[in-house]
Amino acid sequence: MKIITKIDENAEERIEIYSHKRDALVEQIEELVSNYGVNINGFKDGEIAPLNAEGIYRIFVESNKVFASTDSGVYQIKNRLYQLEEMLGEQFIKVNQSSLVNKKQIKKFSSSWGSLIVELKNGETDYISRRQQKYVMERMGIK
Amino acid sequence: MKNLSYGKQFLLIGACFAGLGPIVGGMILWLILSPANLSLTGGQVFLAIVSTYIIAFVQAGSSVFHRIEHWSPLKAALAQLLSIYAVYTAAYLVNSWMPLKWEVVAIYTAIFVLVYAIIWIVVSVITKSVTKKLNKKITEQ
Repeated sequence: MKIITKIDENAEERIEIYSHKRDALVEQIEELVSNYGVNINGFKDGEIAPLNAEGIYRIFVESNKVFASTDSGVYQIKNRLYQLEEMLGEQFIKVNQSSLVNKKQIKKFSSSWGSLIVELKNGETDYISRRQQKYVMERMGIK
Repeated sequence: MKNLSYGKQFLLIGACFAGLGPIVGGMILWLILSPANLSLTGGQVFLAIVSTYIIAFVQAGSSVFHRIEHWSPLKAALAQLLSIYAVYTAAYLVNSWMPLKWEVVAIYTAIFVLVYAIIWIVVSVITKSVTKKLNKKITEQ
């Protein structure tokens, strides 16, 4: 695939992709562009830390509060889960009513008692609700 | 539906499907027994209709257990099995569709659990197949 980069301070900033088909490369470029610079403020021990979407494993709701798990620990997020779902776009998959997982951080899937489980690279696990199963499959590229 | 509590979801789903229960029950009765052979009292018919209504209500409503996300699948399946078993057994006994003899109830219980287990095995096999497809996708990416 050819790459043409034009630096022009006066032009509208945009990226257009011309491809014969939607493949892994196209999806990766889309993900990279849509999540570029997406930072969420995380709160831990009275301090605020900017969290980059790339480094978040999972965003989940617990006791009506939203948290994000990262390599440097679990941070509270002030946004609502549906807002984060919109903000983070393609990179995160809603696996059940109270969790979003980072697609790039998925290690493997497993099953237990007829239920689907997703395991992340940091060892965390979450289950995929029946309601979200079809959506997860579509997001993983299974029609 | 999404914003309703699980209790309200149970009642709503149950009420929707319970409306069809007596119709289905009536059709089965009509197909099995020709009208000439029917010799039921008004009270028996009324009891059968109410029982079918309650069975359909609980059968449909109990699907909500699988939506309670903080419950494990095993817990949800057991809650559904117990609620359906309780309502079916009560309806069969109250209507005298099954005699109140321990050996009959034991055979009925065994068949009930067996059928439920078969359904869950099928669900489990399907889930395993989905898991395999998802893992294959991960390795491809």
